[in-house]
Formats: sequence, C-alpha cells, structure tokens
Amino acid sequence: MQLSELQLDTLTELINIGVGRAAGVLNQMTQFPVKLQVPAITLLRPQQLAKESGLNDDDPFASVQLNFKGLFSGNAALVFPTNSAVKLVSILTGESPASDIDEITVGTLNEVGNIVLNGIMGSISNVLEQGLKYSLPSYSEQALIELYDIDHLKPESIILIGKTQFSVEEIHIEGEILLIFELGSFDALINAIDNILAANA
Amino acid sequence: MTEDKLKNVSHYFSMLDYIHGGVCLLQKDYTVLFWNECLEDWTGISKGDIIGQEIDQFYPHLKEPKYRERFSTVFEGGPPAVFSSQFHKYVFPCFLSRKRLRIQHTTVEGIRLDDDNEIYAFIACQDVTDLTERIHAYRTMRDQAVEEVKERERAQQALQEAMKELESFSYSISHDLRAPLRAIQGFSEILAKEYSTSLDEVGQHFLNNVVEAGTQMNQLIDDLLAYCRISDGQEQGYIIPLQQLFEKIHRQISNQLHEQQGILELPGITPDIYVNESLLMQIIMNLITNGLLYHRKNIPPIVKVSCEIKNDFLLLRVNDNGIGISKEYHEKIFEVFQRLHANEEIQGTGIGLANVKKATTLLGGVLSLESTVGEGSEFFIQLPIQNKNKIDIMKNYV
Repeated sequence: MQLSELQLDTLTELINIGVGRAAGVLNQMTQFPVKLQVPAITLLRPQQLAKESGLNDDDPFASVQLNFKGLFSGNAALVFPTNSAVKLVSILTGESPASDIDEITVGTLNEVGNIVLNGIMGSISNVLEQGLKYSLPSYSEQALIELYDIDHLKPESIILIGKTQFSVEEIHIEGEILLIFELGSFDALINAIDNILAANA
Repeated sequence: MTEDKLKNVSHYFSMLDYIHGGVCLLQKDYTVLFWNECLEDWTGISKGDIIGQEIDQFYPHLKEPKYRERFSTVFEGGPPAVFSSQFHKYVFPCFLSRKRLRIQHTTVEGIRLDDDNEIYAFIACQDVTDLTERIHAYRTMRDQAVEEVKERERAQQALQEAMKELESFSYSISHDLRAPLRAIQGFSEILAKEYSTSLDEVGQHFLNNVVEAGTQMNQLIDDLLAYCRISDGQEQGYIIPLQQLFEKIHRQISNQLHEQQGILELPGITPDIYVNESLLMQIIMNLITNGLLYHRKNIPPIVKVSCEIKNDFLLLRVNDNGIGISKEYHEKIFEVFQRLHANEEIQGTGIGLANVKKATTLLGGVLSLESTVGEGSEFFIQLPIQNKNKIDIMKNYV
C-alpha cells in the first residue's frame, strides 16, 4: 500500500483532528490539561504487523477495542503496555498509581479508549460522509500477537498504526492506536482524502 | 412524539423492566421515552412523572458539556459513549442510604426504532457500588501491606548496615589491639624468663597473671577476628573433601586432647562429598573444643562426631559427656560474648558458639541443640549439599 506524502499527511492530520477533539472531551473531565498527539502513522499489511510494528513481544497490553460495520468495516483499538495504562489512569484521575489493573481501572481505561477512538472514528466518518454501526467498546489484556491473530485477518486488510502521545504537563505516555480496515474500506477512505485534496487544490 | 408512539415504545421496551440495571431511552431533544422500573426504584422518580419530560429538568448536570457533547455524538450516529464510575460516579444520582450514593457505570448507545430513521440514545446503567467499595477496601489493604513490607525492608537494611558497621568496627579494634598485646606478652615473657629471680613470690604470681591474661586476650582477639571474617564473607574459601577436613581436625586437636586427657571419636567412613573448609572447620573445631573444655569434674571428656547424608543434606552430630547446658540458655549461648561460666572456672571467650551459628547460617544450614545438665550435650547441624554428583556417589558409599 503506497500513499503519496500528501495523502499520508492528510490522513495523519485527520487522525490528529480526532484525537484533538478527544483531548477536549478528556479535559472537561479531568483536573489536568491533557494533550494528545499522533505525530506519525504507519500502514501495514497483516503479515508485516509482527515484524515491522515492533509489537511482537509477549508482554501483555491493555487495549480498548471498537468494531465498526457498514460500507466501511474494521476494528479500532487503543493499545497500551499495561504499565503505561496504569500510569495514564493515575495521571487522569489524580490517584496514586495502582500496582495492577482492577475493575475500576478497567472501567476508566474503557472510557478513555472510548473517547479517543470516538474522536478518530468521528473524524473519519465525517470525511466519508457515511453512517457506521459500532459495537460497544470492549477491554482486554493480552499480548498483541494474540490480539491480532494474523490467521484471522484477511491478507489484503490494511492496518494503520499511530503512535499516540499523551502528555500532562511534563509527563509523557505513549500508546498505540491501531486501526484495521478490511478490504475495500481503505480505498474508500483514500478516495475521500483525495476529494478533500482536490477541493483544496 | 405522539402519545400512541410513547405507548408503543413503552410496550417495545417493557421486557427491560425485569432486568437489574437502569435503562432509559432519550429522544434527540432529550425527552425521556422510556424509564425502566429499576430506575424508578433507584431514583424514586416514576415513569409517569418523567416519560415525556426533558431529562435535564430532573438531572440538570446532564446539560454540562462533558455529557452533552458525547450524547450529541451518539444522536448523530457516532460510536457509543462510556461513562465510567471513576470519572462520573453517578449519571443518575440516587441514594442507597442517607449518605451513600449508588455508583454507576453507564453506556449510551445510539439505536434506531423500526419505523423511523431517527437515532435515540439508549442509556444502560450498571450499579457498581459493591464492586467499587470492595476494590477500594482491597486497595487500602494492599497499600497497607506494601507499606508494611517496605517498612520491614527499610528496618532490615538499617539493621544490616548497623551490623556491618559494628563488625567492621570490631575487626579494626581487634586488629589494632594485637600490636600492644604482642608487646605486653613479649615483655612479660622476657620478665618471666630473665628477671624472675629478682621477683619475690608475690611478684612472680602477679607476673604469671599478666602472662595468662595476655594469652586469654590473644585467644579473644583470634576468636573475634574469626567471627568478623565469617560475617563479612572472607571465610568462604576452599572446598575440600570432607575426609580431608576430618584429618586436618585430628591433627590440630591432638595437643588439646592430650592436655585434657580426652577421647575424640571422628567418623570412620566419611561421605564422599566436598565441603567448605574454613566454615565447616569453624563449626566442628569449636564444638569439639567446647566438648573437651566443659567436662565434668574428674570425668575425662569424650567427644563423638558423626555424619551422614539424608535427602541432599549433610547431617552432622557432635556430642559430649560434659556438664550440659540448661534449656533456658539454649538460645543465649549462640550470641557473642555470652558465657555461662566465670573465667576462673573454665577459660573461654564467649565467641565460639556464635562462630558456629554464623558459619552454619552462611552455609544455608540449621543448628539445634539437645542437652541434659550433668550428662552432656548434642549439637545437630543440617547443611544443604549442592553437588548432586557427589551426593550420588556418596549414597552408594554409605
């Protein structure tokens, strides 16, 4: 999957508009101003995921996932190493970091993931001008290799990975946003991006 | 929405009156279309009062942007919204008791009804009060336990540092005492040898006392230095066959045996294992020396040493027919400078058994004692053996 630099920049910008909106929502809820940024994105095929994403270790990751269906289908996930997840919740809630992820933390992570992913999906569906059906967000803790079992992904699927930086004052936490688009849906997104570029040309 | 439509919606969702969780349906203008019985129970607001009314009239906080913006996204066909208990606690504030509010985890999902394209907000509210309180109780307990462990670790570290400092101090003091002591011993020996004729009987008695005190102090310094060397790990030296160790012990103890007119029985057949020479030497030599020293009046001392291998452990027994040790002192005697007898009765430094205990601990072993006053004592030492091959050879041997 080859995108021009302009297409890639526009897609990154689109995602940043989404996470920016998500940061706005988070700031209404927390006492600390949160900045959210996705400086760069990478596009991969499923078979490249383990090798090139650097996410092939066995460490457990905390992830919030959202499935979407319609003319445009796939799965969006916000993924964190477990330690970062605990740290993020502690920063956002102002509570001391827990040594493990309990049900209260799971609920909070679910909401944070929900806000971030909703921001991105809102941004994408706006340019697509298409309504989608969404699942309820779900939380899980497992190694990424189990989370994204490439045997169950269509080889033609496109996986979009964006390194997500959360920062509150001087504290920075990085996570990953993973968006998996099933066959065909990514073309629709690129067409929509091309339309934006043509309109602004 | 017409009254008929409201009735239809009420009928459509009626099954949700039976679930244990709050369910509410909102129209885009925030009018309540459905309010289940659970929410009636929780809030005390009846269906009749709230259905057809705007939710903000009952819960004005839902007008705040942190709720409004996310509800709007749902009404526009966006993904569901999650309101977690930690950020929001109560979407529909309601009391469980006078002071206790019901903690909730809420999801808001956009749904379409059969006959129109409008999106409605389906609010599902889960009571997580018990769960939350239990987790908070667990967190408090866990934090306390972690703090206690940290406190214990800090205390242990402080104790270890203090011990190290004390041992290092003892070592340097013992070392520094050697030089003046050597001078005292040397000059008193010269006095005894060359000037004893110039001294009367009382003077000679005093001089003998000086020589004896010097010898005693020398022994004390030797024992103290050995104790310090064991403590700081300097004594973890050579590994030799156990048989060789017993041969060495036999050679070193022969003079004392002769002096005390004692009998020493060492094991005839020794397990074919390798042992730490200096540490095991400290253990066995000190126990034998004590057995020979603390004998009953007019009864020649007999000390027996035996050893065997059992379940990967070297079991060592040293027993004597001496004066025995009263049960109340069984722990105290392993502390440094603890003596049960005056120096006039039996000479000793009060460090030997402390050395035995320290060396046993360093070897990862355990030490116990059985004793009867007037009959004798048996020291039992259990030491782990790491060298598996040697153990196998030894098992065939024994």
